[in-house]
Amino acid sequence: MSPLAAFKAALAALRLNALRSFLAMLGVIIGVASVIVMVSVASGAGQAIEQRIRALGTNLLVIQPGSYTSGGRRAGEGTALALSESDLAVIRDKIPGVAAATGIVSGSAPIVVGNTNWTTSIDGVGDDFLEVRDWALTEGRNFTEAEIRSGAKVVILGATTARELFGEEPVISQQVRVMNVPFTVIGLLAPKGQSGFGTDQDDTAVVPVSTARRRLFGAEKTVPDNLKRIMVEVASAEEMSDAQSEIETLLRSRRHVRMGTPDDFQVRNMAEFIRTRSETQSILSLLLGATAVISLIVGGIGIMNIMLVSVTERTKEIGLRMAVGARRRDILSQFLIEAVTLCLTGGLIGLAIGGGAAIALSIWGAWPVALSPGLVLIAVAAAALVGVFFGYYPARRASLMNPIDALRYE
Amino acid sequence: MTQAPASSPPPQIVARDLTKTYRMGDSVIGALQGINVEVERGEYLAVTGHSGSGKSTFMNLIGALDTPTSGSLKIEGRELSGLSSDALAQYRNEKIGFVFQTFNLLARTSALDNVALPILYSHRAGKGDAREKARACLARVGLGERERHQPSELSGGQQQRVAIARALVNDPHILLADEPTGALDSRTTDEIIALFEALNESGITVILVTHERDIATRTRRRITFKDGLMVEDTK
Repeated sequence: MSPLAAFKAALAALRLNALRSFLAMLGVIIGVASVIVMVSVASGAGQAIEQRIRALGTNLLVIQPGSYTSGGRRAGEGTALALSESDLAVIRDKIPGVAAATGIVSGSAPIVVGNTNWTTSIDGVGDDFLEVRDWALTEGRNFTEAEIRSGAKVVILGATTARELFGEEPVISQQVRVMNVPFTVIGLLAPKGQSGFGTDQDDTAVVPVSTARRRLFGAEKTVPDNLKRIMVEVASAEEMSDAQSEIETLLRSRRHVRMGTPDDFQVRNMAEFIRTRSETQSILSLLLGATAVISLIVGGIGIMNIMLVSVTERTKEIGLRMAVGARRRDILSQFLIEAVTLCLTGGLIGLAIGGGAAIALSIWGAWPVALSPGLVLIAVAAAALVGVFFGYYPARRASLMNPIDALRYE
Repeated sequence: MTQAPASSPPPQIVARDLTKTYRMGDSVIGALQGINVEVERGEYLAVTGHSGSGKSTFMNLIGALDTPTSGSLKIEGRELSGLSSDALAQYRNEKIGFVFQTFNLLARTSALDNVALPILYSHRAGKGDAREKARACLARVGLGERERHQPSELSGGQQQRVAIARALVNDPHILLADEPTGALDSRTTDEIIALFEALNESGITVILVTHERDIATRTRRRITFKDGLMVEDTK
């Protein structure tokens, strides 16, 4: 019997008992639909989180001074000896694998335009800040090296800050005042959205680092070229941990941290952060997937049950088919194909329902959903596999019948 | 084994000391207890006896629906016992046509598809157009215009004709009919028996299993079973 003829015969046999076939399929339909919805929602959420973390800049190391300890009192993060421009220069020049590095002086101050004002975080940065943060400009230009060196009174606004100050009006070449110092807006940052920590990254403004030190936040007495943090972009993800440990060794010696005492600075690895997050995510996907697979197995048991009933009911037919020349394997494949057809049909219906639900969730539920062709393929293949696995036992039982006993069965 | 060309061909069916026993709980029932019989090509044979005499068991062994407990059964020179289940399936498909008392047609399947069923399992080269062949067989049993009908839309006699057409579709050498008229009225019975006679005329060996004496008297040869033994052979 050719596979196509067998498939047609299977469809015809299933149509004879349409309601029962549908009820048997229901388990597989629900199983496949839940596989599709659960996995696509889980991986959609994962992708959204990863995208937000990636918006921080990937392959990024963030260095901050640690806490200052005096007489047993620990002052908290960032209170230890500040980092300096020379730290930055050494990291940029001596550490292998560093693609770019930038130092940041930051603070918070109100920005005034006419009679409106908006208090935001202001970062004093170098000209490679945009590259390190992987941040594009929607309008205007980056700082020039001369502006950085001379402490020019120019500012690049974040999207949120610009909207709060200017609304929809153009911002380039506008004048703003920060702590009574007039600044010219030269650029507008592209929106980056929320950070992985839930803060609005676009609520910011950047100025040249020397300007920030000289005109806004002042320099520290002990470290006149102070930096609040240093951001390092490493060329590749593989070099991250090497670069991190070399920076730690270098800074310990530069800051005279004694052997056996902890670092008085922190190096945070953003890639590691992403990895942790995505690991959490994949565990979540796995759990949801497992739940869905269990429902698929339950569906498969339903198929097995109905196939056993069908084999018993059609014992006489099996006997007749054997009498007119069907071999054992013909009978086996007939019932196996029936079970697979049942599961595949259920799988396709489940796919339509699950895919529809996933798409509806993404449109009306504003839920990030990732419905990949791979997932669709896996779900359909899983349904077919369930058919083979749970259809084999009933089909084998049919094929092993004795022709004369089957024919005489009442 | 080579046969001298001058001698007549061997009998189509040769049974030697053929036995079949069934185990039922602790007791062993001897359905066939040593049968020796030869059937020539083209014979028209009735097998009679009371129910439980072993006549149906004999037919099931010839049709390879069942396997003998001991003894030898040669069909066209080939020993059946010891053949694999695949080989037996092929033997049933190509050499034997079965006709049953209860017709055994597939429900909700057209007469044409019922007749074409054995072709589905045939492994002969050049199956040709299965539907054309099935159509020709339906015409041969006088049901050419009913090919679209399902069994439930046909009378008992018509259903049995469809079953006979199905038995003929692979050009069998032996037609085995087990109480083929048991479920039919006397007029239809005559028609079906006439059909068997016509098929026998065309060269097919026809073996009719029946307990009705008047049918058995219409065949050229009659063998009678009693308690698993052959007690009469009118050869």
